[in-house]
Amino acid sequence: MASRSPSSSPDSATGSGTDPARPDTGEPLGGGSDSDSDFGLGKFDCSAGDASARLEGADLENEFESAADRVRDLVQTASREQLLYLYARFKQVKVGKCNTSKPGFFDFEGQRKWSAWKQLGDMSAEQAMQEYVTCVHALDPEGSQKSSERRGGEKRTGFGGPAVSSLYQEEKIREEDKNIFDYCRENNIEHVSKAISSKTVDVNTRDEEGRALLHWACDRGHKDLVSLLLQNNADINSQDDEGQTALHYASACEFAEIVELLLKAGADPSIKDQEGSLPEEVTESSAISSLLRQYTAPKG
Amino acid sequence: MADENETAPLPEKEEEVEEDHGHCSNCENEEHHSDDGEKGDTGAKKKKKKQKKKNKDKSGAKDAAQDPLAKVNSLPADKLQEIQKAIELFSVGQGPAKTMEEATRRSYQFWDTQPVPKLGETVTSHGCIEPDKDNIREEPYSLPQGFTWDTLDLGNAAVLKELYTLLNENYVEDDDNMFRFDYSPEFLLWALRPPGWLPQWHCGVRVNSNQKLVGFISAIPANIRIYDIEKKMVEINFLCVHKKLRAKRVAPVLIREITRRVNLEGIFQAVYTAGVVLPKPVGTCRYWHRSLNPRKLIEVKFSHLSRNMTMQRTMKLYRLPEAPKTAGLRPMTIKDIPLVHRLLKEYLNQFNLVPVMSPEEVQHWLLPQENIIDTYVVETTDGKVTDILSFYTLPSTIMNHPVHRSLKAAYSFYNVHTTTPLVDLMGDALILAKSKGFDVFNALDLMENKTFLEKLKFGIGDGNLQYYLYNWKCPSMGSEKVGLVLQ
Repeated sequence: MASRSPSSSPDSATGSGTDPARPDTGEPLGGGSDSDSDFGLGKFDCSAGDASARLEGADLENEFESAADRVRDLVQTASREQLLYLYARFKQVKVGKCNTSKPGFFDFEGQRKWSAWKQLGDMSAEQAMQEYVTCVHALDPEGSQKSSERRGGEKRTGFGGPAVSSLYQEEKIREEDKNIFDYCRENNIEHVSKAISSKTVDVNTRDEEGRALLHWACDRGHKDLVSLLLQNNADINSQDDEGQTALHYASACEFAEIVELLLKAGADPSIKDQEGSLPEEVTESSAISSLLRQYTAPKG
Repeated sequence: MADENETAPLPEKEEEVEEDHGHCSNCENEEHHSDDGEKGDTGAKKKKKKQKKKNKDKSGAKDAAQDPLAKVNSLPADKLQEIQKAIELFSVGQGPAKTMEEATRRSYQFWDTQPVPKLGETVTSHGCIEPDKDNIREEPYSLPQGFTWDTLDLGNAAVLKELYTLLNENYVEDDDNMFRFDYSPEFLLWALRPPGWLPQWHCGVRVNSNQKLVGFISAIPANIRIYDIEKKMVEINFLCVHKKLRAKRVAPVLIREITRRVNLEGIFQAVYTAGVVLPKPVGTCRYWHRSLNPRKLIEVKFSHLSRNMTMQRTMKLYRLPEAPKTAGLRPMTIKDIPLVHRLLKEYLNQFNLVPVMSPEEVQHWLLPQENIIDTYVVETTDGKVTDILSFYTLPSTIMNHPVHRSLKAAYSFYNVHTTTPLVDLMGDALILAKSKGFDVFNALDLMENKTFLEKLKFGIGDGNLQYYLYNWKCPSMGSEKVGLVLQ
C-alpha cells in the first residue's frame, strides 16, 4: 500500500501475532427459482505448479494460511475460473462439504461460488489445502518466497463525505527471520523464557542501538515480561545508546504499572539520559511524574 | 458482511453492494437487474437496442410498478436461464474501483446513463452536460415492493435518532471492519440543515411492515464556484443503504429520486465525494493523518510501529507544546462573522472549486459548536481579525477492541492565513485538538495544505477522496486547486 507512517522505517514491521478469525459467508438474500449451470470447473488445471512438493500436517496448514493471505493480492490478475477454484477449496477447508442451500436467482456470483464449492463433494480438507497451495504457487511463483508476509487488507470506502483512511499497515516476519527482540516485542513470554533459561540468549543482550530486552518490554507495555526479565537478573539500570534506562522508556510510554514495578525492584529514578533528562521529565503523565518523585524524595 | 473477510475473495454482488453507501459503481448492476426483469427477455442485440432507447427516454423514464422478481418467477425455465447468462456478463469481475487504472477497465451501466463525463474523456470546455429540464416528473420513483419513501423530519428527536442509528450501523467503514464513522445526532443536524435546507431533501426509505428506516440520501444546498462560474448546486451526502438491503437495487433509485427532488427546485448540478473511482473525478485528494495520541492509535491499529521503532521514540516524535504559540488566538464569536466572511471569501479566490458562502452560511458552518465544529481566529492588538483556523469533530467507532471504543478524530475544515504563517496556524490547531482530547488530526492535501503536512509530521493515509460534479463538464484539477471540504 502507498501509506507510510512517518515513524516507519524500510524495515518490515512486527505483526500482532495471530490472524483474526475469518467468518464464513452468510446466507445470501433473495429468493428465486432453480437454474443450474455448469462452469466446467472440474476441467480447470492448476497442477502445472510444484505438485511434487507435497506438505503435511501443521506445515500444510501454515502454508495454506499464507497462500490464503497472498490471494488477496492476486485478485486483480487471476481469472474468474481460478478464483472460483480457490474459493471452492477455501470453503472445503473451512466448512467442509457444501452445506448451504443454493443462492437466489439474482445472486449470480453467489450461485457460481456455490456451484464451484458443491462440485467438490466429499473432498478432504487436506486435499483441498494441497490443491489450494499448489494453485497459489502456480499463480504467484515469486510470492512463495515471501509467503509469510501479509499486508493489511486494503481499505474500501463508499460514497459520502470523508473516506475512512488510516496509517495502519501490518507486516509479519517469518519465524526463521525473528530474533530475540522480535519475540520480546510480540510478548512471547514462553519463547523468551526458554531462550534465557537454556542460556541461548544473555538476558542483558543489546540491539544495535544499545537497547536491552528490558527496554523493549517496557516500551511495549509487557508487564509480565518485565517481571520475568527482572527475575532473571536483568540489569535494571542499563542504559541504551542515548543514555535512557528502562524507567525512561516506561515513563515516556506512560505504562504506570511498569514504572511502579521497576521502582519497587530498585530502578534508579535519578539517572539522566544524554539529553540530561530524568525519567520524570520524559513523561507527560502527571501521575507517573509524582510517582517518580516519591521514590526520589528520600535522597533529597 | 462475512464475505469481506474471506481470503479467497471473488467479485460478488453482496460484496459489491456492501460498499454501496452511495454512488458506487455497483448501482449499474442493480439497475440492469431491474430493467432486464421488467423486459422479461434479453439478447445481445436487444440489449443494445434497449440501451439506446433508455438514453432517449431518460428524462421521461418511468419505472414499472410491478415487482420484477414476481415477473421473473413466472417465466419459463429456459427464459430464466437466458436472462441469467445475459446478466452475468455485467457482474463479472465487478468490484468498486480504487484507482483510475482499475476504473478504466470497467463498465458503469448506471453512470453511463447519467450526465457525467466518461472516464477516458479529456475535458477542456466548461458547461452543463444536459440542458435544464422543463418537465420534471412529479411522482417519486418506484421502490421495490414492501418499501416506501419517507421524508425525515430531523427536528423530531426520535427520527434523528433513527437516522443516527442507520448511519452508525451501516455507513462508511474500512474493509477490515476496524473503524466506522460515528456521526452524532447533533453533527447530522449541523451537516444537513445549513441555511436554505429543504425537508424533502432528507429522503428516507422505510419498510412498510414495520416502518424501519433502511435507506437514506440527502441533498444540502450550496452555492459553488467552479472555475469562473458560480452555480446554485447541492452537495449529495450520506447515501446509506442498510446492509441487508443492498442486493435489492435501492441505491440507484435513491440517486434518481434525490435528483428528481433537486430538479423540482430548479437546481440541476451537484457536487459529491467518494472513496472509490467513478466517472469522472474533477479532483483527487489524499488523506493525511497526524498522530496526537500515538499510543492509542497503535493499540487500535490505526497506525503501527515498524520493526525497530520504539513507542518511546514515537511518543517523543509526536509530543506537542501545551499551549498555542500564536498571540491573539481565541475562539470565534458571533461578532466575528462579518470579518470571517470577508477573509474566507478573499482566501478562497485562488482555488477553482469552492463554496460561496453568505454571512448566514459562515455563521452556520464556522461558529463554534461543542463536539461539532471548532473555529479560532487571530485577533491583533487593535481588534482586527487576520487569520482563521477550523476543524470539525467526527469520531469513529472502534469495532472489536477490548479497551478502546471510540477514535476521536479532528478534520481540518477551512484555514485562512494573512499574517500568521499557515504552518504556525496549523501547528496551533494540533495543540488545540490535542488539549481537547483528540486522538488524531486529519487533513486532505487540498488548498495549501501540502505546504505544512510533512513539516508538522502528518503521515499519508491509505484513503483517497474523489471529488465529482453532476451534470457539469470542466477540466479536472490538482488537489491544491480544490477548495471545498464536505462533512
